[in-house]
Amino acid sequence: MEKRHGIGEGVKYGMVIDLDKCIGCGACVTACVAENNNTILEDETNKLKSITWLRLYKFDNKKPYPETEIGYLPRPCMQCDSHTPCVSVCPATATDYDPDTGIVSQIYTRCIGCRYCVAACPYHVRYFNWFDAVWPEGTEACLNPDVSPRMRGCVEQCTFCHHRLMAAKNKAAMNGSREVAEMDYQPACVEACPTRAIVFGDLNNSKHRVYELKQSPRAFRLLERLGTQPKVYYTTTHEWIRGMSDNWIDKEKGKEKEKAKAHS
Amino acid sequence: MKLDRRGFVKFLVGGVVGTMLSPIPWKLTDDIAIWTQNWPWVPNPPNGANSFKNTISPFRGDGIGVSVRLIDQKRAVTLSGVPDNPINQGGMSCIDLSGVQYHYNQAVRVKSPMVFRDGAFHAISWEEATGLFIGKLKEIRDQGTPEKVALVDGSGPGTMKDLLGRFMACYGSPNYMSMPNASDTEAQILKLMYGAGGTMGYDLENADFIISFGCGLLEGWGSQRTLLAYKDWRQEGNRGKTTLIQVAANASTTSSKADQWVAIAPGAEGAFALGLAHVILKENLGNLGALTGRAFGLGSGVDSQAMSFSGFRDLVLEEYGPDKVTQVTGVSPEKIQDLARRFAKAKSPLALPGRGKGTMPGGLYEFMAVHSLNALVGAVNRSGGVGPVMSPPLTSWPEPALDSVAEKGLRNARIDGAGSRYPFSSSLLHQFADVVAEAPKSPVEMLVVYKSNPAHNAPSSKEFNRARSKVPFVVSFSSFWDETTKNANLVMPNHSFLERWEDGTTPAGVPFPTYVLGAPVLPPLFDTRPTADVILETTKALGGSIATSFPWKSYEDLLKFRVAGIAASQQGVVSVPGSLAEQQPRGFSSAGDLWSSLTENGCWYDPSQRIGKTATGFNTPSGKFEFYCNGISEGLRQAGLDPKRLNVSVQGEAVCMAHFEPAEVEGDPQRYPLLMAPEELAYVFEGEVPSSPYMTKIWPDTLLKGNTLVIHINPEDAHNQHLYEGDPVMIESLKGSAEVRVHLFNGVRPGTVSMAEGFGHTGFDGYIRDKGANTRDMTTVASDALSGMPLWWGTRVKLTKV
Repeated sequence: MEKRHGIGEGVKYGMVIDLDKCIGCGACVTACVAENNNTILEDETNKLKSITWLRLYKFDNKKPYPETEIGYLPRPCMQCDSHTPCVSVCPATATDYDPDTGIVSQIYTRCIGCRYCVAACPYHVRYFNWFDAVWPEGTEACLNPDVSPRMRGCVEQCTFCHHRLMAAKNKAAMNGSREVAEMDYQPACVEACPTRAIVFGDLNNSKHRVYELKQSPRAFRLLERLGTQPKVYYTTTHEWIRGMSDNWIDKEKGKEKEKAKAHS
Repeated sequence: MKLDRRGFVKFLVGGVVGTMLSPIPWKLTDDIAIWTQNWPWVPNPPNGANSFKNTISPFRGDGIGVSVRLIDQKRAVTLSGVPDNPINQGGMSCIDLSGVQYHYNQAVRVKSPMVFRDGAFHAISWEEATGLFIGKLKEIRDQGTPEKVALVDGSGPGTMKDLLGRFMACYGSPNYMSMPNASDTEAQILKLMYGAGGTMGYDLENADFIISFGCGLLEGWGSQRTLLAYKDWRQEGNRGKTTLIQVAANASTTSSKADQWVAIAPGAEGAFALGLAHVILKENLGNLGALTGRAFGLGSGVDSQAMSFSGFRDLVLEEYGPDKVTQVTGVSPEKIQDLARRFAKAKSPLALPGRGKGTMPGGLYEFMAVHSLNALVGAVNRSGGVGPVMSPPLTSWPEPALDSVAEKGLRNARIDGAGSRYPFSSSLLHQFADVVAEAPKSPVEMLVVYKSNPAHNAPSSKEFNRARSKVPFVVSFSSFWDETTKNANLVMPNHSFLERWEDGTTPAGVPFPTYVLGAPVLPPLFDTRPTADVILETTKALGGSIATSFPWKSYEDLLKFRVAGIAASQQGVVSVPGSLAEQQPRGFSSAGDLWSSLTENGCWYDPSQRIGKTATGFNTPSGKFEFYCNGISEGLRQAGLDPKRLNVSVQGEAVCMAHFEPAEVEGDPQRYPLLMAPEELAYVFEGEVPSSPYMTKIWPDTLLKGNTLVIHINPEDAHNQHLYEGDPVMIESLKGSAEVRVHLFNGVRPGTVSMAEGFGHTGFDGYIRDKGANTRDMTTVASDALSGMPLWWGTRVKLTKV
């Protein structure tokens, strides 16, 4: 099996999302849809058919009035660093893991639409195009030329705005450098966030802000017990939100211990 | 050669194995995948050279800087925030990010001037359209009744707003109305308590203890700059330095992200503020010493009408003890006392009035209560506090020339009663709608609508639509097929924001003066014209004193004239790349220099005029901050209104001071047992345009399901009415009804229903049309006792299972 760089080695792009700063305004989602030419259905309330590379989840702590609190969680692709489930199952090599950046790619024209990856992804970040791509009349004119629109029958997913990495690499090369500067490669969602809740960079580069932020005692990842090593970290001071980060079964043996471990 | 069975099988197997070992099947599979995906109907966006141009986003009226990415300088692709703009510093909101989508959306753009004839819209030329418009204006003016033209303006503060107001004045009509919002109430507070003009600024960045009385700080209140302050409060290393308290009835994003949520009975915010004031005065907390010689009406005195009064202190100490306030607000006395003490002891306490995004005006007395509370803790005109922000030093408008027709027309009382029956207000759209709807014959011959959609968004849209249907000639300048435009007689579409000049002065809440300017980025896509230029052309065609009052050839000329004032003042700085990061923003040397800098970078601002940095006096009759507003007693006297006959719940001196006005909500509580509170959400927009198709992706399924809106009720109420999650119900008020679904949510106060605003459109395209229900069709609008401003935070409703 190909040797995977752990998050501890090489360039590994990742995000740290501060859920205390996230106000659920949806600017990240809008920026993502516009940047990545996501198709838009007239009825986007059908979440089984709606395509949202960056989905905003809204939830609450279920406590009675007036102790109720709302939380938001923006969910891009987790860009799993270990046993990347979608890559493991793809029979067409349409999706792959780039060991040089840690980014999980998707080659739309290679995808045969089997949807194994959709089933395999524990984070529900993969979307199947059930329909031909449609946009509101005339708005094809504002499609981004850096991202190819997708055809009915293939799967797509957040790529950390990989085309921006390509542009940043070109820029670096033009300047005679091989290293991409932190602020030269920032996904659209990060750029748009009005409270700067999302921070992006190389998780292994101590000069990048994410390096330190991911080490915060408040940092956690989704479904960490699966061992997929997501490269999207979240931080929060709210215990109830952290508690939702994994599938804890009621009266699960060692649940409290695991939780405490996750929180320590 | 004979081919036996064995040989045939060997050949077959060999062939299969050989083929499988060759690249042919894999190449074929790959190619098939590619071929089957390259259909001509999948768009292939043409590539080209990238460039970026800065402009401002018009939707929220806060003038945030946006950078437009252009391909080959002719195709706008995406928008991003301008990092050097002090209002947003690169941050964006979802509606601002949707600007390009609205620009190109052919289904919602009005592509040419249209006239409604014989039951349908017909495209006409601009000559015909302006001819119709000008002809009608001339006809009404020739009859000597210019006051029969009314205008509804939804633009934010800026030159366009002034231009339309001036046009109406020179034409001779007093009936210029703006879409109501909280800034209207703030303007009244500024005048009455501070004796100031300009805008109200709140220095959120430097405050360390903030009590928000219902403001949706994180839902869109004020400008995008509010979110920058929030970002700083929650920055690693700053945690705990600033405390945010949210006082509100229902759980919201702001209440959840605040350090503490004080759950309060709906409509009791004013009483709560006065309850805090009581504790501060009783325990002699706060910064009362700082008020010596600077405040009027805290203690006893004599007002400008020679009436003696005992003052705000006595009023609050007598009427707003914690026990009494507890009865109104539902908050325990201990909590009130604790909060008041913490607030008063903070270094830079600040109280914020208003509800939701600020699109709803507030009760005048409620806002007075919050500003009185600010004064008690010394937050007025102090860094980290509140105070008037002067307008940017744009060239003043020359005195308008008014002919006899204009003078006669302007002597008429406004139809909405602002300035007469309601002496403290300048515009009351809902009163206008009521008067016109009830009149046997419309007092308005022509209604002009600019940058707003009152047929859907007016406080009471049903009344507005009744009024509109009575007006013989309705003109819309909208770029979009909104509900108002669909029912207009003449449509003269404006350019999109990427095609026109646009400017804006200091947005709500920003603590220093700003001026933003956006230049056209693209040539017009359709046969549209900028409304400002149409108005200037109209003034020339009308001739006489109207033409002389508008000497500018084009809107660009007018803007240059206005901007020259800033250059002449030599005040402030222009944001240029890197200026915010370096903290050394560059200035400008000449008017031309300023103009080119502004068109490139978009924003001028003056940090030296920040609240607390300049000595600001109070231009009130007493020359002090007025707890007791002389302006109220004078205003009532001038308007010939007897305070005893006003719909105010108190008598005597309390009429001139902050006090609690109990909410008057129409409807029988037995028949309509629940109170519907319209909820404003960050990811649902309502203004000149509704939410964009992009934004529909954000909506959770607890907001909209299919085309049905989801309302939120407390599980306790649901249990009482035998309702379960997802049940379809009919929500009904005195004004209207709609079929919705219920979502059980603990964060809604028992007895209350939360219903999202911004739905129920019948205009625009299939992405937004016929989705959900419009709260404004259901709300019963109350008029504030003193100001007459519309209040619609609560409507009595009942739910019936369908």
